[in-house]
Amino acid sequence: MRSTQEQDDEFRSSYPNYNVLDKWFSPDWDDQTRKVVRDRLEKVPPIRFFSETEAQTLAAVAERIMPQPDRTESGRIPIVPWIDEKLYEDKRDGYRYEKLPPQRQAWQQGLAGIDETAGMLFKGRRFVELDAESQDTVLKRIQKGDPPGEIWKQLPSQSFFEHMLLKIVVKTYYMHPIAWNEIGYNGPSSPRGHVRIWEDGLDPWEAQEEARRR
Amino acid sequence: MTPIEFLGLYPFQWLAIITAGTTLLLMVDALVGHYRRAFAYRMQYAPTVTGTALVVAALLAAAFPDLPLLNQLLSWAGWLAAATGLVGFGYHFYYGIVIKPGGMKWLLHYLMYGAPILAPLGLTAAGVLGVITARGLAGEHAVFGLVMPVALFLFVTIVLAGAIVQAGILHYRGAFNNPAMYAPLTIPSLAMIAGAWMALAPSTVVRAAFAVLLWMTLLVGFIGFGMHLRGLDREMGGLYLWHVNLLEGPPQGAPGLFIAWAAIGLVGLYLL
Amino acid sequence: MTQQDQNMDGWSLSAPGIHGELVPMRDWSREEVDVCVVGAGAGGGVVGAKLAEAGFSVVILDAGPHWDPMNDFISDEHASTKLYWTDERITGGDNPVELGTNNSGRGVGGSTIHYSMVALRAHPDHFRRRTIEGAVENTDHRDWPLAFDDLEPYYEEVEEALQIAGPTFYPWGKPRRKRYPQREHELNASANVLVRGCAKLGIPVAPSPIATLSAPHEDRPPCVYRGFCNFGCTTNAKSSILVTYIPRAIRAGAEVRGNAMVARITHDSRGRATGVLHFRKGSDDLFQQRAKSVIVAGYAIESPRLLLNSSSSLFPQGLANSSGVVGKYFMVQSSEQVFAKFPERINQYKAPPPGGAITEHFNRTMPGVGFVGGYTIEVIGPHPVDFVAKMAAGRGLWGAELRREMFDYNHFSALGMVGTVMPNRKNEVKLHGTERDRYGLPVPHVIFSYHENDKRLIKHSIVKMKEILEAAGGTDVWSDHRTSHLLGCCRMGDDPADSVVNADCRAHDVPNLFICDGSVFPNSTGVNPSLTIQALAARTADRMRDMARRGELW
Repeated sequence: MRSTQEQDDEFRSSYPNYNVLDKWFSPDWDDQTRKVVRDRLEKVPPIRFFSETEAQTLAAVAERIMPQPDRTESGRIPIVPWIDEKLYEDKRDGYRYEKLPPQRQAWQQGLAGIDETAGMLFKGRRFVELDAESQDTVLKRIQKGDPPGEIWKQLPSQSFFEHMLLKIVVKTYYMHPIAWNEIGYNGPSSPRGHVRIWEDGLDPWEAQEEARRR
Repeated sequence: MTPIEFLGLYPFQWLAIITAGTTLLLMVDALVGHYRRAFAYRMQYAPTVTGTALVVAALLAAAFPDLPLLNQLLSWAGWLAAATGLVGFGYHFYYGIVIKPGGMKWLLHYLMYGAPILAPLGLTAAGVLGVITARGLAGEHAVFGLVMPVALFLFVTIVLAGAIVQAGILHYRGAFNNPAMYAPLTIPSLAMIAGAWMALAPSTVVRAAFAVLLWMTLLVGFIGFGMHLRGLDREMGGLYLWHVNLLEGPPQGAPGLFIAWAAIGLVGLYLL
Repeated sequence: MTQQDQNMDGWSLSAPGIHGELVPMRDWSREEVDVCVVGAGAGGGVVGAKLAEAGFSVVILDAGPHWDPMNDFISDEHASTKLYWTDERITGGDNPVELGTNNSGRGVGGSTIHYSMVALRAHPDHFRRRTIEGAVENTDHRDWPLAFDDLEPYYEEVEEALQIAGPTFYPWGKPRRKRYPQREHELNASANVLVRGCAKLGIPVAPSPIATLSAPHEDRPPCVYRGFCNFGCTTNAKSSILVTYIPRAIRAGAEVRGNAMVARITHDSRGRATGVLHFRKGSDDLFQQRAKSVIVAGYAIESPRLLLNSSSSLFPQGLANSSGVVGKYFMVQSSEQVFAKFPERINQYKAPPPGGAITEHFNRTMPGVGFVGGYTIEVIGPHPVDFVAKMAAGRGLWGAELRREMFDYNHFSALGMVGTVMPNRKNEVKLHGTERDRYGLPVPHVIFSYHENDKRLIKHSIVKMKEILEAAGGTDVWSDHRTSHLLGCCRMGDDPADSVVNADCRAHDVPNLFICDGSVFPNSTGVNPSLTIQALAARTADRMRDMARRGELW
């Protein structure tokens, strides 16, 4: 276990004092964008599709894919609720790889498969019961494409990991204003655009870099 | 020459006022352009500093034309501004074109989007005008080896050439989206020709033509000022987003320069 | 002006204008129109507007909504998924194509709502690939049945209509007869990277011609460099079909009907199209729009799908498919993207994604490289959601390492290419055997595999883009696979036995059926296809007008 200091250093953003939401009433935000982001911040949906087990497993998986140990429980970017909503409303992406089943089935199978692989690699334990390193081992096997488990005979693990699990989890993370802050992303920009579009050009409302990581 | 009073002021007092006005117009555009570039180079503060000196000196010399000290100060401020403009031109040329990666093939692009290449020479022109004005206020009838009116006509010819080229580059960049954008290229060109003619081989016909063309150039300046203001409004967000559109839209000081240059010619024609 | 105002003779509907207002629009639903266009995108918008202006009665249908740019476009990546085709499609083959937000727009304006505005003409050589390069094994890359010169006046016409902003001297392709209507844009940091890198390596590079205003035009302001071009332009500077040809069409008396998914094209016993059956918002019933001619412009997946779904006893293989080629020879363009990190702040999210610079130096068949065809290198500027997905996929990265890498988001710059892909009969769009969409229609099954030629081209391009980025000072280079655009499946040709439409985009089998979109491409060229699609549509409109005058249309 590393110290909190090490953990903090590990996730030290170059923009510690930047907050996209400070620009809420600026000409960078229009009404329709405010409505969308307000809903994203305030109307986090309840879990309606996943079972409790599935939701717990996915929460643990998401924490490995996009770890947030530097944040308190209430300060975290929620990930599972948005994936749950996508599946509950069956909002599709406009395409499905022919080797993967429809998304609801794929996620349920995938999460069950993760637990199955965890059990086969680590003496019958569930994914949520493993420590971080072991959890990573499980996920790496699934990413590689040769995880032990019956479910993976029906659900190609590499495809599920890359095209569904990884992609959706990271996208869900970075659609949140807290993620925009840590990377210094300007965020919404309408009607106002940008003036200083050249290298090292910063408009006064953009994120000032306080400490470059390298 | 026989100086003629106009509204209680002598011609070189008018020229001093025009010097101040021109410098202010140039400073406005320089300030906006340099702010847009976030004052990346310390030299970008220079036009504000030397420009202010020239404006103050010119206005003081206009108010107290009989004080030789103020006259001397105006002369120095003029030379300082002229030198600043030349240095600025060097900066614009070097940083705006020479060190850019695209090379000669991209010259037109850099002329359109780099630092406006002739803008600093506007300050040089204002400085030279200050020097001419100082000589005139001191009672001299010639400057730089030329009789005063001829010196002014030649001055107007040269500065109009620069203004036309600079306006031409930027109006070309704007794709002449309004037909009025051809005006500062056509009418002042004719005024330029008449001005050169007046300097070299004056006659009553040329004089009359020059006068008409100068008045038209003056009008172009006023219309241009209005059009550039309207141009701000045609940007997204219009005047509401003035803090962005002032930086991205048409330069607000530039059209006024045509008013100034034309006025100098008119002073030379009517008051000297 | 209220909706359903019946007192204006015939003008009883209204449509969203481009400034948040409502504009009056005709209602043709009860009548047999001269032309029914399926799809209000790059092809459909152009052909529909021109025919309406020529005096035809026109209905333009689109499966998606009629967007109101002032209120519907959201300055947020995730919320913009509504601009794309999110109904299910199945993708397969050795190199399954990513669809949805990658390349499939939905709604009035089609993919021109979300595309990156790159507006390039194809080269004369692209139309004569077979003649110049000869046969290539396992492909059928062939000449177009028309030449660049046939299209040149139409390129000029659509460039003028869209006010393309391009450089005074464009070094590639056939030398231009006319200047671009507007000047090129200022370069952003990413574009400067491309210019720097190319200059260092001696690769010619030029400002990029794009369909975005750099100066005010009529009632539209110039670009303000929001950088949200791929998510709908709220400035109206982007010259999408929605803000250019659609208002023209409506003013000329056309009806643009959104939320009107077309299920099938109807025809009579003589094999002539008689109109379409489509769904309407709020109803499960099919509505019939009668038309004297039908133009299909649904892009390269929906167009063949519609023809296949319109099969009947007279056309058992699908409408206009006696050749059996509908759905075959599906192409994309390879679009690998290469990323690098820079010491300076790039802030890649700013300014239009193509950034302002481009090189077509490699857009030709080069000697000694082992492949035919070429590619164009352009600049991209992904926003965080898009960017992280690319980084995760391209590097297989996740966890703390991914999150830490993302802290440097503002220091990445990226290049993308658009590369020739060979037309292969095995690459196809067919109807899925079992899957049905929410309308009950068979979903498209897209099958795609790269040809050996394509793979060698991709490899070459990645090497070149890496060289350029490193020459510009970039480090930690990585790449991500991508494809862009959708082409083929209803290819044009002179021989009805192996093509669907002729050079006038008229179906060989059905004389009053036309196809006006990327599906008519017999080969993929090496440039972004939108301008070519628009030019073809403009030409088709003129041909149809001439045919009508001669009494040959109906």
